[in-house]
Amino acid sequence: MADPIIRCQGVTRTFGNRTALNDVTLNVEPGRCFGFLGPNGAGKTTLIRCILGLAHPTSGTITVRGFDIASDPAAALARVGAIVEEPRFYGYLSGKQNLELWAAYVGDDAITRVPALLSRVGLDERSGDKVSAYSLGMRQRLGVARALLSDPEVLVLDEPTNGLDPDGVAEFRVLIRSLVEQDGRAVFVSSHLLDEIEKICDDLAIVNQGRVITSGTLADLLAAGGRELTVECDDATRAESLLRTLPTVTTVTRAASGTLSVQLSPDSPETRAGVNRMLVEAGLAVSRLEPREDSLEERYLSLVHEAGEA
Amino acid sequence: MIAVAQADLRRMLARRGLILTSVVVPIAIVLILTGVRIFLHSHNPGAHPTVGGETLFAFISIIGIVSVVFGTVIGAMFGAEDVTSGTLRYILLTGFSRLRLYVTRIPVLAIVAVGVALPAFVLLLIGALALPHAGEPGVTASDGGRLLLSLVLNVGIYALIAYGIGVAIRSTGGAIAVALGLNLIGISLFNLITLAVPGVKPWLLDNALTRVTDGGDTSIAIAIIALIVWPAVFLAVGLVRALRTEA
Repeated sequence: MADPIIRCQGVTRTFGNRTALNDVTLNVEPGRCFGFLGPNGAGKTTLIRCILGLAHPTSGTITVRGFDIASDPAAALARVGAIVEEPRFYGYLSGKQNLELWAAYVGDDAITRVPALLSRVGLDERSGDKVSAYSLGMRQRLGVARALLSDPEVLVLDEPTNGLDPDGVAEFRVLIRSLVEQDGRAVFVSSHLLDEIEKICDDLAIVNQGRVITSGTLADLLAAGGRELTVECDDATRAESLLRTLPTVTTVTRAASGTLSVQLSPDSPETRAGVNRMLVEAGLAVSRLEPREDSLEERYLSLVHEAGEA
Repeated sequence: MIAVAQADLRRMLARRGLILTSVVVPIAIVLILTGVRIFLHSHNPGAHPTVGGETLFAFISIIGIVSVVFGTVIGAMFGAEDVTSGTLRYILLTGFSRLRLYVTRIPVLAIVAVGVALPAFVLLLIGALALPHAGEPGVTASDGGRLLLSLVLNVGIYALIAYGIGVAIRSTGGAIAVALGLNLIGISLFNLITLAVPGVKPWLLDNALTRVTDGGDTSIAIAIIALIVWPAVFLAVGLVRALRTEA
Protein backbone atom coordinates (compact mmCIF):
# COMPACT_ATOMS: atom_id res chain seq x y z
CA MET A 1 0.00 0.00 0.00
CA ALA A 2 1.27 3.51 -0.83
CA ASP A 3 2.22 5.88 1.97
CA PRO A 4 -0.75 7.84 3.28
CA ILE A 5 -1.06 11.24 1.67
CA ILE A 6 -2.45 12.64 4.92
CA ARG A 7 -1.37 11.11 8.21
CA CYS A 8 -2.76 12.36 11.52
CA GLN A 9 -1.14 10.85 14.58
CA GLY A 10 -2.57 11.47 18.02
CA VAL A 11 -3.85 14.93 17.14
CA THR A 12 -5.35 16.82 20.05
CA ARG A 13 -6.53 20.40 19.97
CA THR A 14 -7.93 22.20 22.97
CA PHE A 15 -9.52 25.61 23.33
CA GLY A 16 -9.24 26.51 26.99
CA ASN A 17 -11.04 23.73 28.86
CA ARG A 18 -12.77 22.41 25.75
CA THR A 19 -11.19 19.57 23.80
CA ALA A 20 -12.12 19.97 20.14
CA LEU A 21 -9.95 17.06 18.95
CA ASN A 22 -8.98 14.18 21.18
CA ASP A 23 -6.11 11.93 20.09
CA VAL A 24 -7.24 11.71 16.47
CA THR A 25 -5.33 9.20 14.37
CA LEU A 26 -6.22 8.53 10.76
CA ASN A 27 -4.64 7.99 7.37
CA VAL A 28 -5.86 9.11 3.96
CA GLU A 29 -4.60 6.94 1.12
CA PRO A 30 -3.75 8.29 -2.36
CA GLY A 31 -6.47 7.91 -4.99
CA ARG A 32 -9.24 7.38 -2.44
CA CYS A 33 -12.11 9.50 -1.24
CA PHE A 34 -12.04 9.69 2.54
CA GLY A 35 -15.13 10.84 4.39
CA PHE A 36 -14.86 12.49 7.78
CA LEU A 37 -18.30 12.14 9.24
CA GLY A 38 -19.66 13.59 12.41
CA PRO A 39 -22.37 15.76 13.92
CA ASN A 40 -22.09 19.53 13.99
CA GLY A 41 -19.46 20.62 16.47
CA ALA A 42 -17.73 17.24 16.46
CA GLY A 43 -14.39 18.75 15.46
CA LYS A 44 -14.44 18.22 11.69
CA THR A 45 -13.51 21.76 10.71
CA THR A 46 -10.93 21.97 13.48
CA LEU A 47 -9.14 18.91 12.12
CA ILE A 48 -9.27 20.29 8.58
CA ARG A 49 -7.80 23.58 9.75
CA CYS A 50 -5.02 21.67 11.49
CA ILE A 51 -4.36 19.53 8.40
CA LEU A 52 -4.04 22.71 6.32
CA GLY A 53 -1.81 24.51 8.79
CA LEU A 54 -4.44 27.16 9.49
CA ALA A 55 -4.56 26.08 13.12
CA HIS A 56 -2.05 24.16 15.17
CA PRO A 57 -2.65 21.00 17.20
CA THR A 58 -2.04 21.20 20.90
CA SER A 59 -0.28 17.84 20.55
CA GLY A 60 0.22 15.19 17.89
CA THR A 61 1.63 15.35 14.39
CA ILE A 62 0.17 15.80 10.94
CA THR A 63 2.02 15.06 7.73
CA VAL A 64 0.72 15.94 4.29
CA ARG A 65 2.47 14.40 1.29
CA GLY A 66 5.13 13.23 3.71
CA PHE A 67 5.90 16.73 4.99
CA ASP A 68 5.20 17.87 8.51
CA ILE A 69 2.60 20.62 8.24
CA ALA A 70 3.96 22.42 11.30
CA SER A 71 7.62 22.54 10.28
CA ASP A 72 7.36 22.64 6.49
CA PRO A 73 3.96 24.02 5.52
CA ALA A 74 5.04 25.28 2.09
CA ALA A 75 6.18 21.82 0.96
CA ALA A 76 3.19 20.13 2.57
CA LEU A 77 0.69 22.43 0.89
CA ALA A 78 2.45 22.71 -2.47
CA ARG A 79 0.01 20.32 -4.09
CA VAL A 80 -3.00 20.55 -1.84
CA GLY A 81 -6.30 22.18 -2.75
CA ALA A 82 -8.97 23.01 -0.23
CA ILE A 83 -12.30 24.53 0.58
CA VAL A 84 -12.61 25.40 4.27
CA GLU A 85 -16.07 26.15 5.65
CA GLU A 86 -17.11 27.99 2.51
CA PRO A 87 -15.35 29.23 -0.60
CA ARG A 88 -14.58 32.95 -0.34
CA PHE A 89 -13.69 35.18 -3.27
CA TYR A 90 -13.38 38.83 -4.21
CA GLY A 91 -16.96 39.55 -5.19
CA TYR A 92 -16.04 42.50 -7.37
CA LEU A 93 -13.87 40.33 -9.61
CA SER A 94 -15.18 37.87 -12.17
CA GLY A 95 -14.74 34.15 -11.69
CA LYS A 96 -11.94 34.15 -14.24
CA GLN A 97 -10.21 37.15 -12.66
CA ASN A 98 -10.38 35.48 -9.27
CA LEU A 99 -8.76 32.32 -10.59
CA GLU A 100 -6.08 34.34 -12.39
CA LEU A 101 -5.32 36.17 -9.15
CA TRP A 102 -4.94 32.92 -7.22
CA ALA A 103 -2.92 31.47 -10.07
CA ALA A 104 -0.42 34.28 -9.46
CA TYR A 105 -0.15 33.23 -5.82
CA VAL A 106 0.25 29.59 -6.79
CA GLY A 107 2.91 30.48 -9.35
CA ASP A 108 4.46 28.11 -11.87
CA ASP A 109 2.14 27.54 -14.81
CA ALA A 110 -1.11 27.68 -12.83
CA ILE A 111 -2.35 30.54 -15.00
CA THR A 112 -2.41 28.22 -18.01
CA ARG A 113 -4.82 25.89 -16.23
CA VAL A 114 -7.49 28.54 -15.62
CA PRO A 115 -9.55 28.09 -18.83
CA ALA A 116 -9.58 24.29 -18.55
CA LEU A 117 -10.57 24.41 -14.89
CA LEU A 118 -13.42 26.83 -15.55
CA SER A 119 -14.64 24.46 -18.21
CA ARG A 120 -14.27 21.42 -15.97
CA VAL A 121 -16.45 22.89 -13.24
CA GLY A 122 -18.98 24.11 -15.80
CA LEU A 123 -18.38 27.82 -15.34
CA ASP A 124 -16.79 28.75 -18.66
CA GLU A 125 -19.91 30.53 -19.88
CA ARG A 126 -20.26 32.55 -16.68
CA SER A 127 -16.56 33.10 -16.06
CA GLY A 128 -16.82 36.78 -17.00
CA ASP A 129 -19.57 37.50 -14.47
CA LYS A 130 -18.71 39.01 -11.13
CA VAL A 131 -18.59 36.44 -8.35
CA SER A 132 -21.00 38.59 -6.32
CA ALA A 133 -23.64 37.50 -8.84
CA TYR A 134 -22.85 33.79 -8.47
CA SER A 135 -25.14 31.36 -6.69
CA LEU A 136 -23.74 29.33 -3.79
CA GLY A 137 -23.45 26.30 -6.06
CA MET A 138 -21.44 28.29 -8.60
CA ARG A 139 -19.15 29.54 -5.84
CA GLN A 140 -18.63 25.99 -4.64
CA ARG A 141 -17.67 24.93 -8.15
CA LEU A 142 -15.39 27.93 -8.51
CA GLY A 143 -13.92 26.92 -5.16
CA VAL A 144 -13.12 23.50 -6.55
CA ALA A 145 -11.55 25.09 -9.63
CA ARG A 146 -9.38 27.23 -7.35
CA ALA A 147 -8.48 24.17 -5.29
CA LEU A 148 -7.33 22.46 -8.49
CA LEU A 149 -5.06 25.33 -9.58
CA SER A 150 -2.01 23.76 -8.01
CA ASP A 151 -2.78 20.42 -9.71
CA PRO A 152 -3.17 18.96 -6.22
CA GLU A 153 -2.54 15.39 -5.19
CA VAL A 154 -5.13 15.81 -2.48
CA LEU A 155 -8.22 17.96 -2.05
CA VAL A 156 -9.56 18.81 1.38
CA LEU A 157 -13.20 19.82 1.28
CA ASP A 158 -15.10 20.97 4.33
CA GLU A 159 -18.84 20.38 4.06
CA PRO A 160 -18.73 21.01 0.30
CA THR A 161 -22.41 20.39 -0.37
CA ASN A 162 -23.73 22.69 2.34
CA GLY A 163 -26.46 24.90 0.96
CA LEU A 164 -26.60 23.26 -2.46
CA ASP A 165 -29.90 22.28 -4.04
CA PRO A 166 -30.42 18.62 -5.05
CA ASP A 167 -29.18 19.23 -8.59
CA GLY A 168 -26.11 20.98 -7.25
CA VAL A 169 -25.42 18.14 -4.83
CA ALA A 170 -25.69 15.58 -7.63
CA GLU A 171 -23.36 17.61 -9.88
CA PHE A 172 -20.90 17.99 -7.05
CA ARG A 173 -20.94 14.27 -6.36
CA VAL A 174 -20.10 13.51 -9.98
CA LEU A 175 -17.30 16.08 -9.89
CA ILE A 176 -15.76 14.62 -6.73
CA ARG A 177 -15.89 11.06 -8.02
CA SER A 178 -14.29 12.16 -11.30
CA LEU A 179 -11.43 13.72 -9.34
CA VAL A 180 -10.86 10.38 -7.64
CA GLU A 181 -11.57 7.93 -10.44
CA GLN A 182 -10.31 9.84 -13.49
CA ASP A 183 -7.51 11.91 -11.99
CA GLY A 184 -6.43 9.54 -9.23
CA ARG A 185 -6.45 12.33 -6.67
CA ALA A 186 -7.18 11.78 -2.99
CA VAL A 187 -10.15 13.66 -1.61
CA PHE A 188 -10.72 14.27 2.08
CA VAL A 189 -14.27 15.42 2.58
CA SER A 190 -15.98 16.29 5.84
CA SER A 191 -19.71 16.20 6.16
CA HIS A 192 -22.57 15.57 8.50
CA LEU A 193 -24.63 14.29 5.56
CA LEU A 194 -24.64 10.50 5.76
CA ASP A 195 -26.14 9.98 2.35
CA GLU A 196 -23.50 12.15 0.76
CA ILE A 197 -20.61 10.32 2.39
CA GLU A 198 -22.10 6.93 1.52
CA LYS A 199 -22.33 7.90 -2.15
CA ILE A 200 -18.92 9.44 -2.70
CA CYS A 201 -16.49 7.94 -0.21
CA ASP A 202 -14.37 4.81 -0.26
CA ASP A 203 -13.10 5.15 3.29
CA LEU A 204 -14.40 7.03 6.26
CA ALA A 205 -13.92 7.92 9.86
CA ILE A 206 -16.72 8.82 12.23
CA VAL A 207 -15.93 11.47 14.77
CA ASN A 208 -17.91 12.45 17.80
CA GLN A 209 -16.98 14.99 20.46
CA GLY A 210 -13.51 15.28 18.97
CA ARG A 211 -12.73 11.58 19.07
CA VAL A 212 -12.64 9.15 16.15
CA ILE A 213 -14.96 6.35 17.11
CA THR A 214 -14.36 4.19 14.06
CA SER A 215 -12.54 4.30 10.75
CA GLY A 216 -11.91 2.04 7.80
CA THR A 217 -13.39 1.28 4.43
CA LEU A 218 -17.06 2.02 3.96
CA ALA A 219 -17.70 -1.63 3.08
CA ASP A 220 -16.00 -2.92 6.23
CA LEU A 221 -17.82 -0.43 8.39
CA LEU A 222 -21.19 -1.47 7.05
CA ALA A 223 -20.32 -5.17 7.26
CA ALA A 224 -19.31 -4.77 10.89
CA GLY A 225 -22.80 -3.73 11.88
CA GLY A 226 -25.51 -6.00 13.17
CA ARG A 227 -26.39 -8.63 10.56
CA GLU A 228 -29.88 -9.65 9.79
CA LEU A 229 -31.26 -12.37 7.58
CA THR A 230 -34.73 -12.54 6.11
CA VAL A 231 -35.82 -16.17 5.77
CA GLU A 232 -38.85 -17.68 4.04
CA CYS A 233 -39.43 -21.43 3.92
CA ASP A 234 -42.24 -23.99 3.83
CA ASP A 235 -42.45 -24.42 7.64
CA ALA A 236 -41.80 -21.16 9.44
CA THR A 237 -42.63 -22.55 12.90
CA ARG A 238 -40.06 -25.34 12.65
CA ALA A 239 -37.48 -23.05 11.09
CA GLU A 240 -37.93 -20.59 13.95
CA SER A 241 -37.36 -23.33 16.51
CA LEU A 242 -34.24 -24.56 14.72
CA LEU A 243 -32.77 -21.10 14.35
CA ARG A 244 -33.28 -20.34 18.04
CA THR A 245 -30.96 -23.21 18.88
CA LEU A 246 -28.05 -21.49 17.17
CA PRO A 247 -25.93 -19.67 19.76
CA THR A 248 -25.01 -16.94 17.30
CA VAL A 249 -28.62 -16.00 16.64
CA THR A 250 -29.70 -13.24 18.96
CA THR A 251 -33.34 -12.91 17.97
CA VAL A 252 -35.83 -14.50 15.61
CA THR A 253 -39.10 -12.77 14.86
CA ARG A 254 -41.90 -14.10 12.71
CA ALA A 255 -44.19 -11.87 10.72
CA ALA A 256 -47.84 -12.75 10.11
CA SER A 257 -46.86 -13.74 6.59
CA GLY A 258 -44.48 -16.30 8.03
CA THR A 259 -41.36 -14.40 7.03
CA LEU A 260 -38.62 -14.74 9.63
CA SER A 261 -36.19 -12.00 10.60
CA VAL A 262 -33.05 -13.52 12.06
CA GLN A 263 -30.62 -11.27 13.89
CA LEU A 264 -27.08 -12.57 14.06
CA SER A 265 -24.69 -11.16 16.57
CA PRO A 266 -22.09 -8.80 14.97
CA ASP A 267 -19.17 -11.08 15.80
CA SER A 268 -21.01 -14.17 14.65
CA PRO A 269 -19.04 -16.53 12.41
CA GLU A 270 -22.37 -17.87 11.11
CA THR A 271 -22.73 -17.34 7.40
CA ARG A 272 -25.76 -17.13 5.18
CA ALA A 273 -24.68 -20.45 3.62
CA GLY A 274 -24.40 -22.04 7.05
CA VAL A 275 -27.94 -21.04 8.01
CA ASN A 276 -29.20 -22.28 4.65
CA ARG A 277 -27.39 -25.61 5.04
CA MET A 278 -28.86 -26.18 8.49
CA LEU A 279 -32.41 -25.50 7.31
CA VAL A 280 -32.04 -27.64 4.18
CA GLU A 281 -30.44 -30.52 6.09
CA ALA A 282 -33.46 -30.38 8.42
CA GLY A 283 -35.64 -31.03 5.37
CA LEU A 284 -37.01 -27.51 4.95
CA ALA A 285 -37.49 -25.96 1.52
CA VAL A 286 -35.90 -22.48 1.72
CA SER A 287 -37.45 -20.07 -0.80
CA ARG A 288 -35.78 -16.87 0.39
CA LEU A 289 -32.66 -16.12 2.38
CA GLU A 290 -31.65 -12.51 2.11
CA PRO A 291 -29.00 -10.72 4.15
CA ARG A 292 -29.62 -7.13 5.15
CA GLU A 293 -26.70 -5.00 6.26
CA ASP A 294 -27.11 -1.88 8.33
CA SER A 295 -27.32 1.31 6.34
CA LEU A 296 -24.64 3.90 7.05
CA GLU A 297 -27.24 5.89 8.91
CA GLU A 298 -28.00 2.95 11.20
CA ARG A 299 -24.31 2.26 11.76
CA TYR A 300 -23.59 5.93 12.36
CA LEU A 301 -26.41 6.39 14.86
CA SER A 302 -25.49 3.18 16.61
CA LEU A 303 -21.82 4.11 16.91
CA VAL A 304 -22.45 7.70 17.94
CA HIS A 305 -24.94 6.63 20.59
CA GLU A 306 -22.61 3.93 21.86
CA ALA A 307 -19.82 6.47 22.07
CA GLY A 308 -22.10 8.92 23.83
CA GLU A 309 -23.14 6.34 26.40
CA ALA A 310 -19.53 5.29 26.93
CA MET B 1 6.54 38.37 -6.37
CA ILE B 2 6.24 40.68 -9.36
CA ALA B 3 3.45 38.54 -10.82
CA VAL B 4 1.63 38.68 -7.49
CA ALA B 5 2.14 42.45 -7.26
CA GLN B 6 0.76 42.89 -10.76
CA ALA B 7 -2.21 40.66 -9.98
CA ASP B 8 -2.90 42.56 -6.76
CA LEU B 9 -2.62 45.86 -8.62
CA ARG B 10 -5.22 44.67 -11.13
CA ARG B 11 -7.41 43.57 -8.24
CA MET B 12 -7.19 46.96 -6.58
CA LEU B 13 -8.02 48.74 -9.81
CA ALA B 14 -11.00 46.43 -10.30
CA ARG B 15 -12.68 48.15 -7.36
CA ARG B 16 -14.02 50.62 -9.85
CA GLY B 17 -16.38 52.42 -7.51
CA LEU B 18 -13.69 53.27 -4.99
CA ILE B 19 -10.99 54.00 -7.54
CA LEU B 20 -13.21 56.15 -9.77
CA THR B 21 -14.50 58.08 -6.77
CA SER B 22 -10.95 58.63 -5.57
CA VAL B 23 -9.98 60.00 -8.97
CA VAL B 24 -13.14 61.88 -9.87
CA VAL B 25 -13.84 63.73 -6.60
CA PRO B 26 -10.50 65.63 -6.55
CA ILE B 27 -10.88 66.34 -10.28
CA ALA B 28 -14.39 67.63 -9.68
CA ILE B 29 -13.06 69.93 -6.95
CA VAL B 30 -10.42 71.27 -9.35
CA LEU B 31 -13.03 71.85 -12.05
CA ILE B 32 -15.42 73.60 -9.66
CA LEU B 33 -12.70 75.86 -8.28
CA THR B 34 -11.44 76.67 -11.75
CA GLY B 35 -14.98 77.25 -12.99
CA VAL B 36 -15.67 79.69 -10.16
CA ARG B 37 -12.50 81.62 -10.96
CA ILE B 38 -13.33 81.69 -14.68
CA PHE B 39 -16.83 82.91 -13.87
CA LEU B 40 -15.53 85.69 -11.62
CA HIS B 41 -12.92 86.68 -14.16
CA SER B 42 -15.36 86.81 -17.07
CA HIS B 43 -17.88 88.93 -15.13
CA ASN B 44 -15.44 91.34 -13.60
CA PRO B 45 -11.95 91.07 -15.09
CA GLY B 46 -10.87 94.21 -13.29
CA ALA B 47 -11.54 92.82 -9.84
CA HIS B 48 -10.44 89.31 -10.78
CA PRO B 49 -7.67 89.69 -13.35
CA THR B 50 -6.24 86.25 -12.80
CA VAL B 51 -7.66 82.76 -13.17
CA GLY B 52 -4.62 80.51 -13.12
CA GLY B 53 -1.15 81.02 -11.70
CA GLU B 54 -0.26 80.53 -8.06
CA THR B 55 -3.70 81.66 -6.98
CA LEU B 56 -5.30 78.63 -8.57
CA PHE B 57 -2.41 76.32 -7.70
CA ALA B 58 -2.79 77.21 -4.04
CA PHE B 59 -5.88 75.06 -4.00
CA ILE B 60 -3.58 72.06 -4.05
CA SER B 61 -4.00 71.96 -0.26
CA ILE B 62 -7.66 71.05 -0.70
CA ILE B 63 -6.75 68.35 -3.22
CA GLY B 64 -4.14 67.12 -0.76
CA ILE B 65 -6.65 66.76 2.08
CA VAL B 66 -9.18 64.95 -0.10
CA SER B 67 -6.51 62.67 -1.55
CA VAL B 68 -5.18 61.79 1.90
CA VAL B 69 -8.71 60.79 2.91
CA PHE B 70 -9.06 58.54 -0.14
CA GLY B 71 -5.55 57.17 0.34
CA THR B 72 -6.47 56.32 3.91
CA VAL B 73 -9.64 54.55 2.81
CA ILE B 74 -7.77 52.57 0.17
CA GLY B 75 -4.99 51.65 2.59
CA ALA B 76 -7.38 50.57 5.35
CA MET B 77 -9.43 48.49 2.94
CA PHE B 78 -6.35 46.91 1.42
CA GLY B 79 -5.09 45.97 4.86
CA ALA B 80 -8.29 44.57 6.34
CA GLU B 81 -10.04 43.09 3.32
CA ASP B 82 -8.57 39.60 3.24
CA VAL B 83 -9.42 38.87 6.85
CA THR B 84 -12.88 40.43 6.72
CA SER B 85 -13.76 38.73 3.43
CA GLY B 86 -12.32 35.34 4.40
CA THR B 87 -9.94 35.19 1.43
CA LEU B 88 -6.75 35.22 3.52
CA ARG B 89 -6.88 31.50 4.27
CA TYR B 90 -7.14 30.68 0.58
CA ILE B 91 -4.11 32.82 -0.22
CA LEU B 92 -2.13 31.12 2.55
CA LEU B 93 -3.21 27.70 1.28
CA THR B 94 -1.33 28.41 -1.94
CA GLY B 95 1.85 28.34 0.13
CA PHE B 96 2.43 32.09 -0.35
CA SER B 97 3.87 33.27 2.94
CA ARG B 98 2.29 35.87 5.17
CA LEU B 99 5.46 37.95 5.14
CA ARG B 100 5.73 37.98 1.35
CA LEU B 101 2.06 38.82 1.06
CA TYR B 102 2.36 41.71 3.47
CA VAL B 103 5.52 43.13 1.92
CA THR B 104 4.38 42.67 -1.69
CA ARG B 105 1.32 44.78 -1.08
CA ILE B 106 3.15 47.82 0.27
CA PRO B 107 4.41 49.13 -3.11
CA VAL B 108 1.12 48.15 -4.76
CA LEU B 109 -0.78 50.25 -2.25
CA ALA B 110 1.59 53.19 -2.64
CA ILE B 111 1.19 53.10 -6.43
CA VAL B 112 -2.60 52.99 -6.24
CA ALA B 113 -3.02 55.60 -3.49
CA VAL B 114 -0.65 58.09 -5.11
CA GLY B 115 -1.84 57.22 -8.60
CA VAL B 116 -5.45 58.16 -7.92
CA ALA B 117 -4.34 61.57 -6.58
CA LEU B 118 -2.19 62.51 -9.57
CA PRO B 119 -4.84 63.27 -12.24
CA ALA B 120 -6.30 66.13 -10.16
CA PHE B 121 -2.81 67.45 -9.47
CA VAL B 122 -1.92 67.40 -13.16
CA LEU B 123 -5.21 69.07 -14.08
CA LEU B 124 -4.66 71.78 -11.49
CA LEU B 125 -1.11 72.32 -12.71
CA ILE B 126 -2.27 72.61 -16.33
CA GLY B 127 -4.98 75.08 -15.29
CA ALA B 128 -2.50 77.16 -13.33
CA LEU B 129 -0.08 77.30 -16.24
CA ALA B 130 -2.53 77.72 -19.10
CA LEU B 131 -5.20 80.06 -17.71
CA PRO B 132 -4.54 83.80 -17.59
CA HIS B 133 -2.75 85.03 -14.52
CA ALA B 134 -1.96 88.65 -15.36
CA GLY B 135 -0.35 90.47 -12.46
CA GLU B 136 0.18 87.21 -10.56
CA PRO B 137 3.38 85.21 -10.39
CA GLY B 138 3.27 82.04 -12.48
CA VAL B 139 3.84 78.53 -11.23
CA THR B 140 7.49 77.55 -11.43
CA ALA B 141 8.91 74.07 -11.88
CA SER B 142 10.18 74.32 -8.32
CA ASP B 143 6.66 75.02 -7.05
CA GLY B 144 5.26 72.15 -9.05
CA GLY B 145 7.93 69.74 -7.85
CA ARG B 146 7.63 70.78 -4.22
CA LEU B 147 3.85 70.43 -4.15
CA LEU B 148 3.97 67.15 -6.04
CA LEU B 149 6.42 65.82 -3.45
CA SER B 150 4.13 67.04 -0.69
CA LEU B 151 1.11 65.32 -2.25
CA VAL B 152 2.97 62.06 -2.85
CA LEU B 153 4.41 61.96 0.66
CA ASN B 154 1.16 62.89 2.40
CA VAL B 155 -0.99 60.45 0.48
CA GLY B 156 1.58 57.66 0.44
CA ILE B 157 2.47 57.85 4.12
CA TYR B 158 -1.12 58.03 5.36
CA ALA B 159 -2.12 55.19 3.03
CA LEU B 160 0.67 53.01 4.48
CA ILE B 161 -0.27 53.95 8.02
CA ALA B 162 -3.88 53.01 7.27
CA TYR B 163 -2.69 49.73 5.74
CA GLY B 164 -0.78 48.82 8.89
CA ILE B 165 -3.76 49.75 11.05
CA GLY B 166 -6.12 47.81 8.75
CA VAL B 167 -4.06 44.65 9.08
CA ALA B 168 -3.67 45.14 12.80
CA ILE B 169 -7.29 45.71 13.73
CA ARG B 170 -8.79 43.64 10.89
CA SER B 171 -11.66 46.03 10.29
CA THR B 172 -11.91 48.34 7.31
CA GLY B 173 -14.22 50.82 9.01
CA GLY B 174 -12.22 50.77 12.22
CA ALA B 175 -8.96 51.26 10.37
CA ILE B 176 -10.37 54.20 8.42
CA ALA B 177 -11.60 55.78 11.64
CA VAL B 178 -8.28 55.32 13.43
CA ALA B 179 -6.15 56.47 10.49
CA LEU B 180 -8.31 59.51 9.77
CA GLY B 181 -8.47 60.25 13.49
CA LEU B 182 -4.69 60.23 13.58
CA ASN B 183 -4.60 62.52 10.56
CA LEU B 184 -7.31 64.97 11.58
CA ILE B 185 -7.32 64.95 15.39
CA GLY B 186 -3.92 63.50 16.17
CA ILE B 187 -2.17 66.55 14.74
CA SER B 188 -3.83 68.83 17.27
CA LEU B 189 -3.13 66.44 20.12
CA PHE B 190 0.50 66.07 19.17
CA ASN B 191 0.83 69.83 18.88
CA LEU B 192 -0.40 70.08 22.46
CA ILE B 193 2.40 67.73 23.45
CA THR B 194 4.94 69.99 21.78
CA LEU B 195 3.84 72.81 24.08
CA ALA B 196 5.03 70.75 27.01
CA VAL B 197 7.93 69.07 25.27
CA PRO B 198 9.14 71.34 22.46
CA GLY B 199 11.93 68.92 21.58
CA VAL B 200 9.56 66.42 19.99
CA LYS B 201 8.20 68.91 17.47
CA PRO B 202 10.59 68.03 14.61
CA TRP B 203 9.62 64.36 15.03
CA LEU B 204 5.91 64.93 14.49
CA LEU B 205 4.72 63.63 11.16
CA ASP B 206 3.13 66.81 9.85
CA ASN B 207 6.04 68.95 10.92
CA ALA B 208 8.40 66.56 9.20
CA LEU B 209 6.30 66.64 6.03
CA THR B 210 6.31 70.43 6.08
CA ARG B 211 10.04 70.55 6.72
CA VAL B 212 10.83 68.25 3.79
CA THR B 213 8.57 69.98 1.28
CA ASP B 214 8.49 73.62 2.40
CA GLY B 215 11.76 74.02 4.24
CA GLY B 216 12.29 75.33 7.75
CA ASP B 217 14.94 75.75 10.38
CA THR B 218 14.73 72.30 11.96
CA SER B 219 16.97 69.41 10.98
CA ILE B 220 16.18 67.93 7.56
CA ALA B 221 17.77 64.65 8.68
CA ILE B 222 15.35 64.37 11.60
CA ALA B 223 12.47 65.16 9.26
CA ILE B 224 13.48 62.42 6.82
CA ILE B 225 13.95 59.91 9.64
CA ALA B 226 10.55 60.86 11.03
CA LEU B 227 8.93 60.30 7.64
CA ILE B 228 10.41 56.82 7.57
CA VAL B 229 9.75 55.94 11.20
CA TRP B 230 6.08 56.96 11.36
CA PRO B 231 4.77 54.62 8.64
CA ALA B 232 7.36 52.00 9.65
CA VAL B 233 5.94 51.83 13.18
CA PHE B 234 2.40 51.23 11.92
CA LEU B 235 3.59 48.80 9.27
CA ALA B 236 5.53 46.89 11.92
CA VAL B 237 2.42 46.66 14.12
CA GLY B 238 0.49 45.41 11.11
CA LEU B 239 3.21 42.89 10.28
CA VAL B 240 3.21 41.44 13.78
CA ARG B 241 -0.53 40.91 13.52
CA ALA B 242 -0.29 39.61 9.95
CA LEU B 243 2.14 36.91 11.03
CA ARG B 244 -0.12 35.82 13.89
CA THR B 245 -3.63 36.21 12.57
CA GLU B 246 -5.46 32.90 12.39
CA ALA B 247 -6.92 32.72 8.90
